[in-house]
Amino acid sequence: MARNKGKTIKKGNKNVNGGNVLSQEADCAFKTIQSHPAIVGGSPVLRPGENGAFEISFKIQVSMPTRSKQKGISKTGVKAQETVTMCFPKTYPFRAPMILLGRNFNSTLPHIYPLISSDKQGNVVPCVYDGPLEDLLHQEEDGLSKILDQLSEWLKKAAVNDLIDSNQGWEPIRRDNTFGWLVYDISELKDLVQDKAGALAFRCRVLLDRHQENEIHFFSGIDYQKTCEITPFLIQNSFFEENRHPFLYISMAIFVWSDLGMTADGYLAETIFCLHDLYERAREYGCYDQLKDIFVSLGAAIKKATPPHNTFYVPIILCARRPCNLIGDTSPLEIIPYMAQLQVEKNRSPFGEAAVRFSNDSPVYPIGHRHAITSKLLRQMSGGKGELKHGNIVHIGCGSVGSKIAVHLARSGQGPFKLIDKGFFSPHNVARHALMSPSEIAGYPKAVLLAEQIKTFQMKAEPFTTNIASLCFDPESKKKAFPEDTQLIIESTGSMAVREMLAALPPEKFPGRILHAALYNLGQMGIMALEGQNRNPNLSDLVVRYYDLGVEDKDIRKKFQDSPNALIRQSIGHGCGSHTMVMPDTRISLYTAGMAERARQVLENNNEEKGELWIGRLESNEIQVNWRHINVGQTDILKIKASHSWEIRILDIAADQIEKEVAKYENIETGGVLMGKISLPRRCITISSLIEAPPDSNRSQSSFILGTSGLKEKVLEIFNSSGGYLNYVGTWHSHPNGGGPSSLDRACLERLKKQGLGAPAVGLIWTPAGFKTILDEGKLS
Amino acid sequence: MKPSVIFFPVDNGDMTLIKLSDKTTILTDINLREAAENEDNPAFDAAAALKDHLETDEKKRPYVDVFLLSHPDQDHCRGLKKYFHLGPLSEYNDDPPEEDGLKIVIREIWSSPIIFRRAGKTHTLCEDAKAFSAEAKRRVNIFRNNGTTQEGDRILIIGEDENGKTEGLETILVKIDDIFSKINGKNSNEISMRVLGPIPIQEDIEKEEKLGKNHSSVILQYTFSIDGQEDACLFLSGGDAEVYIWEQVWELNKGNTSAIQYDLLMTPHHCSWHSISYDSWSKDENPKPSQDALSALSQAREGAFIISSSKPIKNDKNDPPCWGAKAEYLSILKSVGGEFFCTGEHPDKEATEPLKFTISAEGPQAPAKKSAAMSGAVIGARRSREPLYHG
Repeated sequence: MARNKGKTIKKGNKNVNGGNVLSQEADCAFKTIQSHPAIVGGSPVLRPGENGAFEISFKIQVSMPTRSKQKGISKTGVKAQETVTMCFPKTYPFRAPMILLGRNFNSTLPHIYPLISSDKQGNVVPCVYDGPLEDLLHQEEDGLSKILDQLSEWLKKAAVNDLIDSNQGWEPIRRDNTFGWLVYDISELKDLVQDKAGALAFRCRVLLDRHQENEIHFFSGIDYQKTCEITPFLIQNSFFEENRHPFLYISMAIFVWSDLGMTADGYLAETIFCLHDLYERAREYGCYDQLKDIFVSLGAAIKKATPPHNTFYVPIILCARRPCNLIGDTSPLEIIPYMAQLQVEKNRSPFGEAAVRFSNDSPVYPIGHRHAITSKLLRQMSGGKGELKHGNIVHIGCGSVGSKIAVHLARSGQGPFKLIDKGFFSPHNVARHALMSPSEIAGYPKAVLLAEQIKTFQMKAEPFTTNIASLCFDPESKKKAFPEDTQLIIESTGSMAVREMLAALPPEKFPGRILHAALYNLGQMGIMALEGQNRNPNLSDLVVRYYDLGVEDKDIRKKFQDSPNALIRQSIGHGCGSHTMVMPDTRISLYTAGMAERARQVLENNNEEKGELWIGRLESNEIQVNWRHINVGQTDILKIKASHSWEIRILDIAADQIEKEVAKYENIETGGVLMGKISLPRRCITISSLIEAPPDSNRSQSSFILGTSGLKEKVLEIFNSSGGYLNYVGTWHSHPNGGGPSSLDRACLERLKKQGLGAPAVGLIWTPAGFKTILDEGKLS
Repeated sequence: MKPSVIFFPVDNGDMTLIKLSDKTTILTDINLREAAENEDNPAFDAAAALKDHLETDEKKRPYVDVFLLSHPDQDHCRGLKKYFHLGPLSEYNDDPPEEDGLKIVIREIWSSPIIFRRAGKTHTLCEDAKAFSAEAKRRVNIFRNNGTTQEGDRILIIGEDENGKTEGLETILVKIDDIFSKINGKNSNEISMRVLGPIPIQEDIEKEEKLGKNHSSVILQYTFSIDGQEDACLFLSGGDAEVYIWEQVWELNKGNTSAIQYDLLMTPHHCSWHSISYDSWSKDENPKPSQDALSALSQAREGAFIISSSKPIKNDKNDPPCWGAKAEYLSILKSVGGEFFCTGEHPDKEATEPLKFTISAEGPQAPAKKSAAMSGAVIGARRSREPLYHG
């Protein structure tokens, strides 16, 4: 924005300037300013600039403390009437005006922006609002007045040095609107500062971007772990330009600090434009000698290296020791970064000089700081509270669902990760995945690529590309993949075998809580099952519970019934197919966002003991997933030794039903039929619900004889409404006076076997001391 | 954060909050009407505005370190039962109905000994005043029984009771001319209070009649010490004290006027003529102020501010607020280059806002001038505003 010092227009002068009609924006801004109650001392002055830009100067009344009123000036040097110039860009009102205070305004006050426009040199730019002024301009109906209100308030505070709360600590110099950023981890850098003044150089990369309006923007990252000696060899291998946009330089960053005891206790406005200014500022901070010395070393190295150009972009970081800790910090060190565009002095005779010198006029730009990526930063940005206990998150499966959950968690600062997947990243995976794959990396294992991605977040991630079963059955590998501090295991393989294997592993051999994530029926439904503490209820219990829900919920049932066709072999190459579910990336994300959020909540606040089952259903608009949540209590587990070892698992709701039924009949034996799921490979029977004893059953004090009337129909109904998942698994009855199975009970089990309802089958007996069982192992007997 | 003194616009009533830089709060008087009662400015919710300025403790309960009741008139304690927790802290309701909101905890009460006086013909009390009296007595009893009090039970009596009711309470009593700086059990190095009233009650019944509730107001001169400046700001506040009392104040302090100097003065009794004159503003033809009372209220320092906590002041026969009293205050201010504020007119009669003075080493500082909202009086001070969003 250029400054037009020429013509001025006073109010009443018909808004005409040498034939150029003033814009409506200028006129409206003028009237708004004029009508503000704080504006005093005659009419504001409007000066048109180039291309529709304009400036308005006016006097504003400052609210003074009582004893400064008559003097007309406060102790901090703020006058009862201050002259202000607002520079409106041609893009106003979509860009905010810049507020300039007079050249004599006290620039040692806090909340002053670094001046980034050299033609306004000497003016002071107050930071009147904690955010973009553009937002303030549009947030209210009369945003320009609001900006003036903020200015009026700012000046009032400036008059009594109340811009910052000194009880909170030292406020770092404002660096919001600068020429770019330097990325570093501030605590790592502060740790390098010693009591004696010193300087260090680091390797770094500088990106230089010149926008159309000749605005410069730097972006630079330093590697503070790699300090370097400034040698001719280093110079020869640095400062080359890569021919790309924006320009990339390999450079070095210089960090200087002062002696302990050298306290910089005054606010100094950011008015640095050239190397000379920077030297002066370094002098104020007590690190001038260190800066000068390192420039001599740099000059000497350049002299010897004779690089082909004369301009060097070097980030310079000054460290000021403040009288108190910075706001929200435990250290008084303020780190202030600049970008120097060092120019070798040309007119100086090089004879006899051991080092090149840099022109005092070399431009220096104030730049801002950006925290380096750390899990702390990611967590802060995600709203995480308090210290996070970083235990491992193990991902079994790094496909579309798993990768999305992992990346969501990593972005929120959770981790570290162990990533298990034996699959390779294939071109068709790009359609649905968290990885952004350039073609050249297709063919790497998914786990490796995902680990690489997460490592760019400065977080640990270790890939495992072996089959999960091999990993689990090899103690050494298992130890590596599932470390003792494992917080959560997220299983998203889409493989029933994996699910069943994990369920079969007893908690003592496989600690850690499993979260199972799966999508069904082209993404019409998704389930998330979270095991309870000590893996009870476990994954298979939760899946059985899920199918049991289908018995009462028609919608879930319908979604299973449509399900068998959902997995279709998709051609992913000539003669190659993949059994996968066709749906867009967006639909997967609808589910994985919710799943990752629940995982994040569990990781942040892991005290829920119960198991959880979440069933997500895609609404008919297909942009919304509706989650239903049920808590699942602990499962009763009975171990049986027949001709083989078996496990009977009674889900919380089935156990509740039994207790209720027993209570209803008090001292009389009662019973019924058990529904559930049999897994012959795992030799496990899971009981999900009961069927009430048929009407022809006979209850008495000494026996219970199960009837059969209508029983087959009831069993079939549950079988069908669970999509064929739940079946007859046996019978139960009570012995209110205790005692194990009688010969009658065994005979009954035999008799039922002949009904052909299913086999094997369990005979469960409730006694006041706990459950007792008899088992028909079916073909395994 | 610099300390501040905030005057809330509560019609002809008082509600003043002192907030120190360590966030300690001293609330003097309240006049919290139901929204429907607030005809002049229905949009201004004084209770919400007060809570906005209060801190909450570790149990998330809003609190004031001190609640000072200058005298038990309704326009000084209205809303006490509804908005403040009375009784032991163990009975605090942390889960009130949503529409009621959490009640404000009073860590320490400051009160005149009027709580010990029986209600009678000249001493009638509204419900809130009775509740205050009961709460103050509850706290006094705890002290009498235990010899000490905890936060939430603390009380300080300002002024001795002539009939001996304050005997044995010396530890929790400050007398006229005392200067104290203990707030809720902690000594402050930022503020101290000099007791100027209540004036001890005379034996003469006729005089006691004159010393009704208004007359027995607590009068304090607060001294702020900021950045090493010992008398950075003097704030004189005297509830509804009337002319006889101000004459007495002058009599007692004319030899040491620094005790009644001020940079900030809250006009007694909502800018009432009766605080400075025995005549009637509306009936007498040529009402005259009492020179002694005026002298007591004239010790303004350079650039002082005088604040009337009242409705807007009109040029008419009304009292309070009274046009004639305002004229007297303006003439005091003229000689020191000071400024007059009225809570009912700040920043605008149609849309009042709390009037906040920042206290600096250079004296108190009035609020910055701000633009009025474009919307009409119905919306009041609330600006239409779009919430910021994320993209």
